[in-house]
Amino acid sequence: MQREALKPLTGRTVFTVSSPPHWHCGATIPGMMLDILLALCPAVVMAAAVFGMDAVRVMALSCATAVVVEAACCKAMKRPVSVDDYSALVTGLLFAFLLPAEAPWWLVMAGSAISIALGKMVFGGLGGHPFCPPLVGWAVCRISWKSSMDIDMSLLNADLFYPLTQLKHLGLEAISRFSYADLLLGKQLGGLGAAQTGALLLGGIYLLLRRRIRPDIPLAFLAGTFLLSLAYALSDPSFYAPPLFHLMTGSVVLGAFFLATDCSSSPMGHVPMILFGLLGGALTVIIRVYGDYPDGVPFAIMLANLATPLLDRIRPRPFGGAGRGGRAHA
Amino acid sequence: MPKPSLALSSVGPDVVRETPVREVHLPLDGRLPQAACGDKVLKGQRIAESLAPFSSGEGDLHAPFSGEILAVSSEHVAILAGGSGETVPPAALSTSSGEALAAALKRLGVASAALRPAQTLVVGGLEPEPGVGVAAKLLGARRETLEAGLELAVRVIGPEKRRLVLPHGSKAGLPGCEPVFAAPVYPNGLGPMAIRAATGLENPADAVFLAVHELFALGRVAESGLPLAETAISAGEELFCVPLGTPAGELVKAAGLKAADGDRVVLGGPMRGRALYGLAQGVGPGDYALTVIPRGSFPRMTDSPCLNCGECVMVCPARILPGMISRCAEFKLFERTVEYHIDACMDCGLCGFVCVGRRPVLQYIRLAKKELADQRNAACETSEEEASSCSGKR
Repeated sequence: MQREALKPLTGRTVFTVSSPPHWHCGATIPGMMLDILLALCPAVVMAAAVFGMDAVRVMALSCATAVVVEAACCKAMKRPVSVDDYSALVTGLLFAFLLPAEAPWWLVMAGSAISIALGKMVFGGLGGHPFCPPLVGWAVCRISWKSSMDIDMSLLNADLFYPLTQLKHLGLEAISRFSYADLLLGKQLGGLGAAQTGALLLGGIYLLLRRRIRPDIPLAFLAGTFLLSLAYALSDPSFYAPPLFHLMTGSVVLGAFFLATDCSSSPMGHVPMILFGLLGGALTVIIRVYGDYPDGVPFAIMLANLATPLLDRIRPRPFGGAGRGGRAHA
Repeated sequence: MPKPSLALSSVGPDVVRETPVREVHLPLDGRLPQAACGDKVLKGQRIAESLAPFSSGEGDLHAPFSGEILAVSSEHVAILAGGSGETVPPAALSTSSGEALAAALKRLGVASAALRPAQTLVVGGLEPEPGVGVAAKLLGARRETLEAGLELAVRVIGPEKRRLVLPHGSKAGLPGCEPVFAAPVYPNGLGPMAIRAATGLENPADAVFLAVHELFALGRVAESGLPLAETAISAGEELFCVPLGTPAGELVKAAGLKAADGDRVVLGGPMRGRALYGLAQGVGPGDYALTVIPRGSFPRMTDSPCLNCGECVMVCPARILPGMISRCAEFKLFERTVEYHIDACMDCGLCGFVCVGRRPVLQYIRLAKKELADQRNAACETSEEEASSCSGKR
């Protein structure tokens, strides 16, 4: 709401004076973050339905920790507390989505705090971070507490399987138990939210329709995953999994629509965005095929994040040629 | 409020309304006043002299009617109508051409960077900004004036080719001008975009751009032989032809608009206009619109850091990085903005329009441009002292 202007005693009308443009498209940071939260809601519901109160516990704890840590960081940095833009909530929820539902409380809190503090606030807050913040928390936890982050831990509590470790350790026959419909409906193990492929797809489409994200990165990411896994599958269909299996497992859909599209760590411009998406998607498949990690998405996106400054250098010529700036620095 | 449309369209019939006023407040904008409080002036008498170079597009200022000077401040000259309908003797414009004519026009109050010899003259028939209806109405209702203005402009510019940029489907036309059609979407009505639509080239040296409302000003001078006394200005859904210095409040009233506490009263369009601090402020030459924006229509501007989302980069017609330039300007790294091609910026304001962080992106860019110009001037003055010659332009 606008603050009341001080009224002069003369009763003269007081106008708002500000710089152009006087119109605005209406999009704000809190608005954008609320829309992202709304887009994540179906996956939240599905996660609660599939994994029960365990998942709710992890999501709530992660979100609360993220908000508290961001407020504390702002205080420590002597800056206005910025949690009212809901971006910490988004980061906390996305981090929770990557965890197994059985994650212990200390892991959730540590990872969520690291996502905010190390992933975002040390770089100056929203807009400055070179990596997608939840992935920083995930990477630290995955490397530090490998067994607690193991998705297969959930095997004890659920009668579901993690398709990617099944594929990695037991081979192609093991994944025949998963139908595409089951994968879409989240009847698979994985990160508690990341496994809700269909719900996330719905949320992603909502963000596209609301124009909160541009289609370049998500579609290129999905295309990169699809095309490279198709190439592997064609080269040896008896050894490599079909491309649709790769698209619907692990965190590919979460990564494509919610992690890779992070404003600050992704490039700008159509060509850089498409290359960024293709790179992330292709790296996902490469890590899955050759790497030690069953789900390559988090590291693939972080590696693509590293390429962002390079990709951002791909720029069209400015209007009317390089002009004075170009000559001055030739 | 839903997202405002950037379509360029004129609503309402092609009618130009006149609004008589008794008192005008002529904005000086840095011109040197040449009249004192209490002076009696004739219509067309020079009130203030422009000190800016010709390329700035600023001309001298004249009394729009005979009367008495009420007040002279550093900001404005107020004139109350009175006395006879006598005017200064009309200038003879029919004999001169080229630079002599351009100089004479500057003294008559119509100056433009476009009034220089060039191969192609591009007339902008698209509305300059969304929510503004000036071009179509002038083309529809004041064709004779526009033709007189075109004839004068042609004598200065001497173009081999004349183009008129029009919205798709428009049937308007001007003599000797080949119509070129462009999508009526902002910023296609701005000079650089219209020149590209007409010639296929970006910032060619041998093409100049005159918007229809500028032609109208030229036409008024050509018809009367008197200095520029009025401007065509769109307010609400109507187009007015008002004496220079007409207080914004009179236009707000005439157009049936309402301006209450906290609203913005903008001289110019919603994308590039200047917000006024009071309804007594008068319109100046070149002002083509008056826009009232109710309070609370849009999210408030903030000093949020740049999100790096790239929306400004995607919409920028100059294909530069407005967000990056705004960040440089924010931390006073003005020289660095040159590396980011700030010179290509055409001042459209789309970057600020789409900014999710609601940063004043255009204001930062304008600040950087101003600082760079000041630096260039200072450097120019230093070299002038050393070599007692100055090749740079302001």
